[in-house]
Amino acid sequence: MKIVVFASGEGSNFEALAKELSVVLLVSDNLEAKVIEKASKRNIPHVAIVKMRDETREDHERRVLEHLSQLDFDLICLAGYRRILSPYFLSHFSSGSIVNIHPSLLPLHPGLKGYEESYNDSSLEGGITIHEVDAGMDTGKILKQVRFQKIANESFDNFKKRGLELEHQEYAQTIKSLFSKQYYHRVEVLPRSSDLLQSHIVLRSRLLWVKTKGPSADLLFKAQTLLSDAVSECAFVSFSDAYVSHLYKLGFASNCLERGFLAGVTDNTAYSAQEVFSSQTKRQDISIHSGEAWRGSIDFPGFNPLLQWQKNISTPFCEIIWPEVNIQSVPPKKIDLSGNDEDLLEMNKKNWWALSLSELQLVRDYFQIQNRKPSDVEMEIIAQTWSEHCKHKIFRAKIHFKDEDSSTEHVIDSIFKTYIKSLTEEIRKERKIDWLISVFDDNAGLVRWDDRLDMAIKVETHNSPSALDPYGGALTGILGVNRDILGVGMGAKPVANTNVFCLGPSQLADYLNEAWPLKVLDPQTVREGVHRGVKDGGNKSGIPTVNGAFHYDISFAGKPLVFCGSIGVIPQKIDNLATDKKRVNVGDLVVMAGGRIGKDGIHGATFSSMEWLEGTPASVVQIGDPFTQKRLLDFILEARDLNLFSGITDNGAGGLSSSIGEMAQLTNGAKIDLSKAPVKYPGLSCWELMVSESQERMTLAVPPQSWNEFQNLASRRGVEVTALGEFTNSGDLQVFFEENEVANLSLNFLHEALPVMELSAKWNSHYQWQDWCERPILKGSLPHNPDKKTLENVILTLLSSDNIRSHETWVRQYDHEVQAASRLKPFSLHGSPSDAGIIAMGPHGGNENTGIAVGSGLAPKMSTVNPYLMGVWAVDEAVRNTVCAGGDPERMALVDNFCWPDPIESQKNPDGAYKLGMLVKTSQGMADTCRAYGLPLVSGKDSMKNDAFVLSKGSEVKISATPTLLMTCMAHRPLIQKALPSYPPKSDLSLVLLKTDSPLMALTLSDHYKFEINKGDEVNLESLSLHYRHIHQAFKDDLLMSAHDVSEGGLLVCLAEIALERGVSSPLSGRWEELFGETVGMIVVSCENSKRDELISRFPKGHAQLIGASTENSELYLSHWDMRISQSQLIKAFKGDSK
Amino acid sequence: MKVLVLKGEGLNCENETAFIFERLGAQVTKRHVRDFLENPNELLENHVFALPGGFSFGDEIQSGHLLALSLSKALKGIWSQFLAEKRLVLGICNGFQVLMKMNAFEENRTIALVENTPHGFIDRWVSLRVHESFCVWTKGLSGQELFLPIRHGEGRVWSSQKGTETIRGKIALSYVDDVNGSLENIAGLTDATGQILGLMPHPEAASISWLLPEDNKDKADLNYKIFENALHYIKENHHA
Repeated sequence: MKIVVFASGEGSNFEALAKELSVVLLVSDNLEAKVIEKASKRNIPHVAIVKMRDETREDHERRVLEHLSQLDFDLICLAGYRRILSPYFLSHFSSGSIVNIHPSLLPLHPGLKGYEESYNDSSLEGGITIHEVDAGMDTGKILKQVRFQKIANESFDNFKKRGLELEHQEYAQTIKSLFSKQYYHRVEVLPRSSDLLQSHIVLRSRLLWVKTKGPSADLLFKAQTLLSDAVSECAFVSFSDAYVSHLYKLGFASNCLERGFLAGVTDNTAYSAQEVFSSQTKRQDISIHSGEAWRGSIDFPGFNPLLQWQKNISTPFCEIIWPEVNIQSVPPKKIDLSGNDEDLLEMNKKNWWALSLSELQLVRDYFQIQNRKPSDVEMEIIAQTWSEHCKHKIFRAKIHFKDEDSSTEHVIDSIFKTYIKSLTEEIRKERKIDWLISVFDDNAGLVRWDDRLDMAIKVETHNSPSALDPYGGALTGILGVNRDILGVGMGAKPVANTNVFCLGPSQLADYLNEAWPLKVLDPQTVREGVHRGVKDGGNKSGIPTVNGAFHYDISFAGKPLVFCGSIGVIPQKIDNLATDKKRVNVGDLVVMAGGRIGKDGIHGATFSSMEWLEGTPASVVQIGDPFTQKRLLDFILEARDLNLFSGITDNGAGGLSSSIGEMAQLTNGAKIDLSKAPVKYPGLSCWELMVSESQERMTLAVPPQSWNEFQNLASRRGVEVTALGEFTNSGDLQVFFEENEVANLSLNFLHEALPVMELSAKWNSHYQWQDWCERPILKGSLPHNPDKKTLENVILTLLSSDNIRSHETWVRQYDHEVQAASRLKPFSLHGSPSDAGIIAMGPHGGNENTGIAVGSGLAPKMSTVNPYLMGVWAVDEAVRNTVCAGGDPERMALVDNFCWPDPIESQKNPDGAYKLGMLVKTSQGMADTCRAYGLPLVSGKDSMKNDAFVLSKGSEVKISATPTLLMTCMAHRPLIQKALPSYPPKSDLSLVLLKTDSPLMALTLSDHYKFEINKGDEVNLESLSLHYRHIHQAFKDDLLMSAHDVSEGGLLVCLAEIALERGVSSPLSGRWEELFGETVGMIVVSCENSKRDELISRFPKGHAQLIGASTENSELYLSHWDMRISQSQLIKAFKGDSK
Repeated sequence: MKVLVLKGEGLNCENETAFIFERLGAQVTKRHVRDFLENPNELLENHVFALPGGFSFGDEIQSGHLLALSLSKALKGIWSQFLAEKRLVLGICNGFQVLMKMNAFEENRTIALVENTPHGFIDRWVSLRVHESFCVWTKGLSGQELFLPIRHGEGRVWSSQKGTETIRGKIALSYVDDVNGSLENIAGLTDATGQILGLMPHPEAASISWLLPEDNKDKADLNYKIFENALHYIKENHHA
């Protein structure tokens, strides 16, 4: 405790304080004051700042403040200081930072004559008061009062002497006691000038609440420099005239809506502020919360009651809300599984294990044979290891598939094995592929197309978390998939991200003509949130977002589909050791690195009806911390290059239980002590420590001889690492808390005992998908043949429709160029979209001439029409997009992501078997296409319960997401110098349509107009495979100047997109379906007129067709109808107001 | 020429920044912020101090704020010597924000880098006009137009004095169009010595032709002159 004393006179109180406390400065306003001598004698720094005659009170105080600004101190004590401190002075300190002692029983006798007036009053006692100082005269909050009896006929001098003795005793004691109290302070940072406001009707300002033990005068005094920009902002620490008038100057009143995080929620601003204070001041005893204050006249966006509190505050600074995690740990307990099936199911429900009855019985039998009861920790480990999320039970299930069309039945021994893993093996063998380094058994797929680097790819979904908190959900989604890349082999470096959003249409609430159903967030909030999450996740991690898509459908209004992908690179060898495999040995330490453990994400999969209790941290939803993860990532890559660890994996779903449980398989055992695990706050039970999904953590294996160096590097990089135990070969996962064993499970049981599920699936092409609400038909019918007027309307309507229009203003908020390797930009100058992203390998230490192209494909619209074709289309679109960017169809690796509504039939889900049938059909379409193209799958993920139950028009409605397959294609991109843009780079080039004879379906057109589509036939996959190889060869032979994929909206929409950048003239004519039909294999390329014939001659008859030319005119011209749409009209339709 | 590029603590453009100096033949050290703060004297062993882009300390309080506080404290005394010895400083994007908060451009700061208008992060390529100034980095380029990417959310130059009087002669670059609401479209500043350049756009990501958008590939060599200027200056003054 460091105090500054202000005194003007004798200094007896000063002396009493100096005896007991550390006085760092004496401030006097009087050169002659005796107190100065006393300070001198005690070697206490002192300064006399005398108020000049023509000086204002504030100017004088400004000089005092200058002295204080150089100092570390906690409290200002007035001890006979004869000036009243002005509101200006006080506004620099939070309340409680300045105290005074007064010689009367306040509120009696304030002012300079306390003793005199007390002596003379009629009361029987005198007294002293120690109080906080506010702007009034001796009016602040009273901290302590001590009374003393008057003695009859006592002289004034004696009365005063007794009073002073009491003062000397009490002042120091009272101050000391203050330092055991908690002080809460509020800092608000406001823009300095109204021209810094983004809006004149809303003011959003930054709040920080600071808790200190004891007063902390300088801390908040320094807030101005520590927490705000000296020129553009000002920080306020107390309610003062200055504060109120500053707000008035900005055009707002002082009352506001305050918003902050609930207890235990990740608070990145607070962590940052905490770093500021700990690095710039000597104080360590502070904790910080952040929030925001809103003022103005409209609804304030972005409030999420799962994560935040908010409150209207009429007098800021006076009432401070401080959320505190207050939980009690429960000691590990034994679970009695001896009851009947109903008891088991009841326990299952209560504990959120989400196991099936047969699984529960298996667990019961296992422990019965062992003749013991499982602990709660063991049950949690089993439940999460066997969860659908971790074990993909549906994808591994034995499926009895009944095709009602052909009246045939057969058994599928696991979709994963049949259509994914065996398929990849088959292709690997048949094509003699030697570049598949690691598929389906590490955190990500790993391929080799370079002589120095391997490339890793992974795509994840984060649908359920994004439904609850779109920002946190998407943010943790992207950070999570980056950790998958970091966890592959010996640790790859993420070099690119992708994102695909499937969302409810933003105008859906208007269409439904009712208030948005309560239980789910409205589509606009979801879109805004996931967008911000992906933005922060990528940008703040320094990873470019190179490819993605926005897709809208009413079926995504319940749970959005949020796909987050990441690509990484890893040197093939470091120190001459291969990096593609982990090399964990018995005796290596089990190490957790990165963030701490909290209640975050416990039982993430089963959140839907969790109860929210006061004082319970928001455990299911979590916000990511990109900065902590960036530190972790940098550190791990540095440690990897120094060869300081022997294995690494992500701590994602299932937390330690999953990461250690899986890595333990490498040595066949692990032993850990949970008491060593660093926690965010006390009170976590053992099972919670084990399954918490707190973010930004990796699990590593560190050889004991490297531990010191590993630990040193970590501390120099600001990363927390903890050795929890060691890898063994005992065959068991042993978990201790200090001395007590809390779990001991055989790895074999954990990973191999899970029985295969048996499911039944049906398919019938007449099956009708049920929409949860009527689909909006926005436009009327079409004439039989296209006419000029209607055609123009249709083009502009489709161009501005949800699934086609530009998302440029959104996408441009994602940094797509950091790391300086992005060869292809997402948009041209005028906004013509690219089909894929390209990352050059040279800047990452790879071959200078090559790169990778990444594209994606999805066709949810097709899924309810023909799920088999959806599988085909998704693969084809992903491949086609990357071919358009110059990707090599010989060297492509695919990633599958299935997002399905519940495919298990039950009372609540009567058509479950058909949904599973759709899954089978889609998988077949995907597999057939991969086989035909000769392309392996290297990684994949499935998400199986994309249903939401909501209230709509008073009754419960189930919103099931349309079954959706997202395919991501990563392709080798040769000739990195050679461009292949999506639009013709100049005029007078021939435009050539490359296609096969697959049937056309005008899906997007039929979304907006009454238009019958046929359900489509099979496609000739063999011809497509060759088609793409021809196109790629043409690119390598310099025949192509540009290539653009014909996708949603068909050919005319594709030409319109090209015309955004370069004029297009085309003699095309035809029926609606020919102009707007969508199918596989269609690409519009441009080429020099002189090379046109050669290009066309390379394709089978009818597969390459001259359809026009690029022109200098800024327009789309269709000569058949003599129809012109100007570039500016097209841009207006395509970009709109970009909202 | 010896170049020190900071890395770590949320910075993320250190590789491309180092790469572009290595391309000039410079000897580049990428130094972690924490290691640098422990031994800031290392700065004097280098000719160029480069602060790359990124999100230092997450940029949660205000962009560049925390790194600037730490650097200011560590470089007391060293900074003025570094400049007096005719050495160079480059701050790109977050590096510019850090230099700004270190008061590298004015003794009594009147300008700040604040949130863009319209609000939000933006990644796009923009044309930039080079101004006549003392700036070593942009020597011989005045009147020319560079083409660089911007990737920032807080790059709007704002002055408490409502004008450019206080930074007269220090404007090195401005955007041809209004891209973020900057005062007089200012994109980059130099200091009184001309040895410091701070700018929001990223020249390190625009000096190889294949990194530029198709229609502006030919601008790469001009952009690269910024770095070549540094090399010439150091050669002249240090024979290194």
